[in-house]
Amino acid sequence: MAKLSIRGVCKRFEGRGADVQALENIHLDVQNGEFLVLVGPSGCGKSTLLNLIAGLDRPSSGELLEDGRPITGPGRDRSVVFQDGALFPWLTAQGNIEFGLKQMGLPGRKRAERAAHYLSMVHLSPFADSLPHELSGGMRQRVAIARALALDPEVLLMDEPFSALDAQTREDLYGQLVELWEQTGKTIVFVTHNVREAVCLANRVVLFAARPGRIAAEFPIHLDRPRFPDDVDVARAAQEISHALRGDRVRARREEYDEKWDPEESGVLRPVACRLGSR
Amino acid sequence: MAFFVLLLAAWEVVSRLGVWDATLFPSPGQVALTLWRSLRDGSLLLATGVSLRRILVGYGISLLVGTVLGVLLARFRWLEETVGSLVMGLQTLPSICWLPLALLWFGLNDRAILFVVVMGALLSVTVAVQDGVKNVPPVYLRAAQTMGTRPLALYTQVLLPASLPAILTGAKLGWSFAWRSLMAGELLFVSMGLGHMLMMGRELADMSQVLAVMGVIVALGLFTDRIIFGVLEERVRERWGLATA
Repeated sequence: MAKLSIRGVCKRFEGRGADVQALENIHLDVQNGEFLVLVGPSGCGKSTLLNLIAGLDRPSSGELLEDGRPITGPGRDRSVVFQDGALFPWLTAQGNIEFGLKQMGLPGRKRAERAAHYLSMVHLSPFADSLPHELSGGMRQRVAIARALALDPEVLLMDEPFSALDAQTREDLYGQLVELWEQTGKTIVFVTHNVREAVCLANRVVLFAARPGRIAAEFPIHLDRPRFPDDVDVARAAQEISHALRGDRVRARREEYDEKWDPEESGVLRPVACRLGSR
Repeated sequence: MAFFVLLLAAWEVVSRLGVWDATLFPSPGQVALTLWRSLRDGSLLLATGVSLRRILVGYGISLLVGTVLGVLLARFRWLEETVGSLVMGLQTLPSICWLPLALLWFGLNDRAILFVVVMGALLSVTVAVQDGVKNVPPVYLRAAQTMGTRPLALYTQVLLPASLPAILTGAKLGWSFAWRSLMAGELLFVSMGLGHMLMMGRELADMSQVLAVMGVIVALGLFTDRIIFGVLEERVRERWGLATA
């Protein structure tokens, strides 16, 4: 049985003028231990789908199952790492990791031990007593990952967790995240708009299209690990996905611009990554 | 600092020139002497004690009720639309306007004064807490929910600490309103306390007592504002990473 199965899920948001069809008829299965990355242009509903899996929002129709049981609300079997980490500013790194454990009713000593363990997993032990604002962006995201993992969830949901970081930090974190995934064997659903990031991390990339949000294509990624954003194979796979993405972007943009807008002239149709030689 | 020394010197010079009568324009030395005397005979300490006790009780009630009310108003729309608009309306009423009502309800006693103090501070604390809670980034609540936080813990462990900086601002505002209300109440209504002592000075035409008591009121205000709230705010800003410097 699939770890997560999403069956015919639709999500509409009621807007001021017109309703927005954020997701239309999504069917998707996520296998146990899979590293699935959802990628797509902004407004394609990939984060909406993640929120539905997290149980933070309800679908307008269709159902979401975890191990065959319907998802009815948020739960610590599905931890979330948010875009900006969402660490509590009044708690130290250690305190943030202990927060969820405290909600579980774990006694103080156990809590501290477990938090320290996960802090060392993300190599931040010396910063246990630092407050979030004293840490760099990358360190904060590592604390957020440790906080999510400390609850020992079945599924780790990540909503563009690295998008606010610089390229070097991001690259370091890819390696660390994949290492954590290999160590713990968690099922990960990761949302990003960065195609190379998707290829670096995923077993399988699911490409979303916008207006209405739907699945446009799936790409299994069988490249060897570790992978780096500059690897030729990564670039090639990313290019294939980008190409599929581009066709949809032209269509999506047409709805946002007036009729005088020319996709050729605007550069949307020009290749994003430089073409590789015939290797 | 030099400015204040200069001001004091100017005051001394003017009083020595005898432009105004000494009973209406006492010298700084006379005021200091009166201050010293009323300290020694205990009358000043007694009055200060009475006023402080009143404000601590009244302010404590305002803080407690205002925080609970503010959180509820921020979380429940129907409450905000009903009680919230009432709070907004009543807030425009200067708290001393509650005194006649309080006197009729409670009679000439401490409870009437307490009522005025509470009405002065409660509403501003409520509004500040309501604002603070409404401005808590929703992502904190979502994060807490995904970590299995129960509804009550969501309030005590997320909403309240997250809005603490705003609550503190409200608490400070509330304090100054409470203090003003108390002084106004004590002036109008014979009842010991610093405000009463100020009025006594007027009745005895003792200008140096009036000035001495005014000085004490200013000193107490400065102490709570700068020392107590100043230090608290500094700590919270530092901890929450809001410090600008």
